[in-house]
Amino acid sequence: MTTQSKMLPLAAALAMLSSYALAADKPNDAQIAQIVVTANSIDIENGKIALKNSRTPSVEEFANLMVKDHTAVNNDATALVTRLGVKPEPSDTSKSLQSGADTEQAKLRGLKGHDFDKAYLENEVAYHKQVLGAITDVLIPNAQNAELKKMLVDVKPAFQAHLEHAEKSLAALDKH
Amino acid sequence: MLGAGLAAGSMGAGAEPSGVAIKMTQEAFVPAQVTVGAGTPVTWTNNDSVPHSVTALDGTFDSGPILPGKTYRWTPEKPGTVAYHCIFHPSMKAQMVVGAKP
Repeated sequence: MTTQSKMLPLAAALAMLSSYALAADKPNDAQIAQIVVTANSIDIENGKIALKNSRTPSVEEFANLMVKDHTAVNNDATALVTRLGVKPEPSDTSKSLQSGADTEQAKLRGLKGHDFDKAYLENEVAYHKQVLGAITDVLIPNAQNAELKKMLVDVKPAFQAHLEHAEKSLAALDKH
Repeated sequence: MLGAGLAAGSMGAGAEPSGVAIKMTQEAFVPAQVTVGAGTPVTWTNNDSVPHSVTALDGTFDSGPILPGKTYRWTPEKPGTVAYHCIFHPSMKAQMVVGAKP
């Protein structure tokens, strides 16, 4: 079974975010803040694993960028919610995100060489697609505070750029 | 308010910019802090392999996507300080201090 043909644990957890659109309970601002911080922290850790396990310059460059960019978003998000007096609140979604990431990251840590690069980039493509969808379909529509909503809107181009970069890096990898 | 600038849009990589030059390289603005006189054009060049933008946080200027190898030029008209960033890469942040016209 190829990695592409099965539902990655992290992607499965992220897909839960879509269920919010249909569920009676929608995330409040405190839960949205925690989801944002968790999602960024996950990709920061993914990037750090890649910087340890990959020996491919283009993958290392991408991973370094993910660490820098997601750290910056987390810093900005944390500063905003602190200023707004919103205390991030764990939810089933943020916990499931983290649990899925723990499983995926354990798998990545055991891989090296081309196997690692492929698995990492495939996960990054799936991850950014899912997070973009969640931001668009769940987090932005449910954000009550205008500044929090604006932050979510403003971060979308970055996530889209990350997705395109991951797809391009994966395509280049598959050519070798 | 620093006033509207002159957006030269996409210029070829071989064009000779005048005024202050800022590079976008390895997902960073180099230099990240500049001081220019009002009326002095500032030219950003994208030396990376991915698109960037030069977007003022206060809305004063916005380059839109700058493709690899392309440039963006903006001329401040009034003294002040403006922070800007790349909307595609949240870690890319910089600041420009505009002094009096020389």
